[in-house]
Amino acid sequence: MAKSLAAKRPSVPELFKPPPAQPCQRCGWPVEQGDSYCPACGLAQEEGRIPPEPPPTLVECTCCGAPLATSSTERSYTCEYCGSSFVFDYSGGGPGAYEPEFVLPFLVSPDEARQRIAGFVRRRRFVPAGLRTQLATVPISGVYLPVWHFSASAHSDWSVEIGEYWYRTETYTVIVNGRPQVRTRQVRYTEWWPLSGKFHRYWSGCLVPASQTITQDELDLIGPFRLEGLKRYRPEFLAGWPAENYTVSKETALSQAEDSIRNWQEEAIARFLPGDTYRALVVETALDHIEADLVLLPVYYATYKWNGTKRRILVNGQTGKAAGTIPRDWKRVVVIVLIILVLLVGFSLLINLLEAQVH
Amino acid sequence: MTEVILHSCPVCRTSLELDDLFCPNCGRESPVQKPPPNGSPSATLGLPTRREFSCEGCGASMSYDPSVQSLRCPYCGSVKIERRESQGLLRPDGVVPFSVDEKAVRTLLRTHLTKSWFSPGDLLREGTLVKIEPVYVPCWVFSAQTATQWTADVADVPLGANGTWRPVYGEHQGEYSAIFVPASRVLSLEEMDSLGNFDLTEAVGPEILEGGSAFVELFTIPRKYARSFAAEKIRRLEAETCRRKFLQAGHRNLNVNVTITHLSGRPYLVPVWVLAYRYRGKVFRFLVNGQTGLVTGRVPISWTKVTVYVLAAMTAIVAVAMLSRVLG
Repeated sequence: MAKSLAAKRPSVPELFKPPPAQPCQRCGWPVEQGDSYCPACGLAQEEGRIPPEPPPTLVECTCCGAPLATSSTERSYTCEYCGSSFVFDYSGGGPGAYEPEFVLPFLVSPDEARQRIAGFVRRRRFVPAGLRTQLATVPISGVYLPVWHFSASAHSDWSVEIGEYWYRTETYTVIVNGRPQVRTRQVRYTEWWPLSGKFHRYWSGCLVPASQTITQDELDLIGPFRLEGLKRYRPEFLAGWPAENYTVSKETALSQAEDSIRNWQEEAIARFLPGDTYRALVVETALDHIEADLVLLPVYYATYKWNGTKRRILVNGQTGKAAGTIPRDWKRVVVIVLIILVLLVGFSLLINLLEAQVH
Repeated sequence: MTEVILHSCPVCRTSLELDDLFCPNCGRESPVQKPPPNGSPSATLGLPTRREFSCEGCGASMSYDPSVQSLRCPYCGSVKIERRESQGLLRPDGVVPFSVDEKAVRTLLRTHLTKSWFSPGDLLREGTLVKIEPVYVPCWVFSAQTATQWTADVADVPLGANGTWRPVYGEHQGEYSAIFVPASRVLSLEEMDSLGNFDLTEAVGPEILEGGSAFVELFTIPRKYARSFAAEKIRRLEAETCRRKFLQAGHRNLNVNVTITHLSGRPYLVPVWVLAYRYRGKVFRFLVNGQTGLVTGRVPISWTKVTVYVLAAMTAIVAVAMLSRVLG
């Protein structure tokens, strides 16, 4: 399986300071900010955080960067060039009758996203002159991307040979000044022991793109998403934001997700093994309770052209993490390398000269 | 309270909250749950004679007895507090009553302060106990079952082996209860741990709160966030259990893979004395377990004493070394 197809393993969620909560006015149950009702007594709570306003108009297709011939007043549109289709509302019951089940609302505003892009470019070296100014005004579009989310419980039987190092002091003979001399040294050997057992783990957070707009690599680069923030889908969440229709079937995504989860499980087992080293690891994994959900994830795109090539930068609409391709100014790279070379050569010449003087 | 937990996860039997979309333990999508009808018989504990405040200093939300003179936050001593009418308290499953009284706490603190080798000699004479307040601290008390696979290297190798280590694998099933996670925004998990356990069999009904003068802190950490702390604690405990049970002799590289099931948490109030001790212009905070009398908190250190001890130890070492040289 190609490496790029394997979804990145989500990192273990760190223990984080929980968001502020206030006791419910009626029953005292701690209610988180943004919850619309008290989970204990059902008392309606004040409005939570309002999602940021979407960028004013969608001028380019987020998928291929082609100019769009539609105005933002329409409820849906299709890019003439690449065929990607977007909706502002799933309730019309369009071609993709499968409604998303969960949505991760936008938390990053378009302005913040632009700042994140600027920060991302600033941290790169050898950026061509003029690119930063071009990116400062690059059009940004925000879109809810359809992504398949998988969870499964994995049961494995494994067998392996565990290597334990041991050391022996050995003597050997060397010839010093024409005379044999006996010396000792520590030699490392490995003793192999068979070991087998079981391994059970729940996995969740396996994300597979449900459209061609984004590759698995790009999705992994702007991840991780804090999936604890997922909300059950309601049409109000879209409120002017376009959402792309899904084009990858659940079955296609499933086989990819199963491969990913099996890989994660094998990596976890490899980390679980004792000893100094191991070989011949065989893992038999059965997956059950596999669940697939179509979720909408918030992503900003900035598509730009450099030397006639289309490139794009993506920003995670929840965490603000930016990723993408930035061209390198090879002239600058060459100049820097030359300067370093000249300095090195000059330095060694200088040392030679000094040594010659000493002698 | 019982109406809060409507479902448990179909895969791992963890209790789910109404607003859980996914099981926090195994990640399985939780069944769609309807919010309770507005005005359903709530889990409220009405305390009509009490009032509430929020501290602007440390963020604590407290229910207090209005007869108290000169109100201060029992945690940070701040007087910047926002008073309000009592809104009712989350009804706890039980309240562990105070069994250590103020007089006993003073004695316990005295012993704690003089226990350390390095505490200043004038600590009791120069210092003053500026505050001693009883607080009922809100806690989520969790229980769970575990199924664990573990591996390690052990030193008891069979006769004829070349090396000193041999790999082993094992399984263990455990059951944990009384895992305390604070539902307070002020007390940290570490402070809670250092207070030791509370015996819940002594817990009584929440009616004793009415008319009492102790502060009652309100629940401000939702259970769904406390769960991850509880799970982490259970994993650590399970690793220790495996170590104790299976690996008494020399061992290394213990790896545990813990699967938690049936995780559920219940609300309780536990008794804690909060003490502030002023010594040479500095305030030191101490906490005393109101049930067992366990004292925690950092005792001030006399650097003069530390220096003297270190010098004495060094002199002794040098003396021994010289002596052995003379004798040898």
